[in-house]
Amino acid sequence: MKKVLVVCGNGIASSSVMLAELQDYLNDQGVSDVNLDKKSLMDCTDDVFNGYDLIVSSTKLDKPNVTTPIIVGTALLTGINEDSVLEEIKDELIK
Amino acid sequence: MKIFVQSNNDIIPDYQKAIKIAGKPLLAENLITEEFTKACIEREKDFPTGLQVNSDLGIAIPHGNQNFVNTSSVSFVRFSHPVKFGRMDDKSKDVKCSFIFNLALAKGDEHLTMLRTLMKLFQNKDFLQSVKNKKDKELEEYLYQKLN
Repeated sequence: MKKVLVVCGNGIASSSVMLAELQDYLNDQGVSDVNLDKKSLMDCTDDVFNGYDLIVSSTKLDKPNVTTPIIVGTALLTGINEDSVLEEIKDELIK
Repeated sequence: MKIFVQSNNDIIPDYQKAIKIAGKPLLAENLITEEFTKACIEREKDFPTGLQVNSDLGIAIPHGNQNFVNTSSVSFVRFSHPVKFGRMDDKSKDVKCSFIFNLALAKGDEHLTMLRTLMKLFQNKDFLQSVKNKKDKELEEYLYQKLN
């Protein structure tokens, strides 16, 4: 089971939209062995980030001590270039 | 929920001022507390909300703490001189925004619904054209239909 963390500024709105988009996509693609979580960026220490297999963030993060791959997922919110970002996430999850 | 529309032809120096302009009618009707606008500005610094919607249009969607909202509303402002906002996907970059939707929503799930609705509309050319061209009063009615 891979653990994915979706993060945004306050952990309420943007991350919920992104999480719902991602969940729908993964269901469509038949990728079921994934656990999705969401949080506010303010609540995330490096250790929290490192406890996940993948981070999908609404904004670019500068976290030199985080080893978990980070994908900027603004596209999941806006719909602009969404397909390529979803594929990137899927590729990371089925590695 | 109530929708406010303003058209601004001034040169606005920064997003702080733009957010204050957006908050003004909401404060006048007691839909928000004074802290709301401050919270939006504060949040914008750490987590900007500017979006490059297409090659020639930027839209910002500043929002803030729901505890400072008395009654949910949206304040829309269009600027004839676009205002620089930080980009949501990368705060080291900025985007010149002609439209801002200041979201003053009292509940978390309203943010979710509103964001989804707005993002779909931002992909719709007819919507963007209407927002650009309608007169303030007509636009208020139009946005009311689209956002409720």
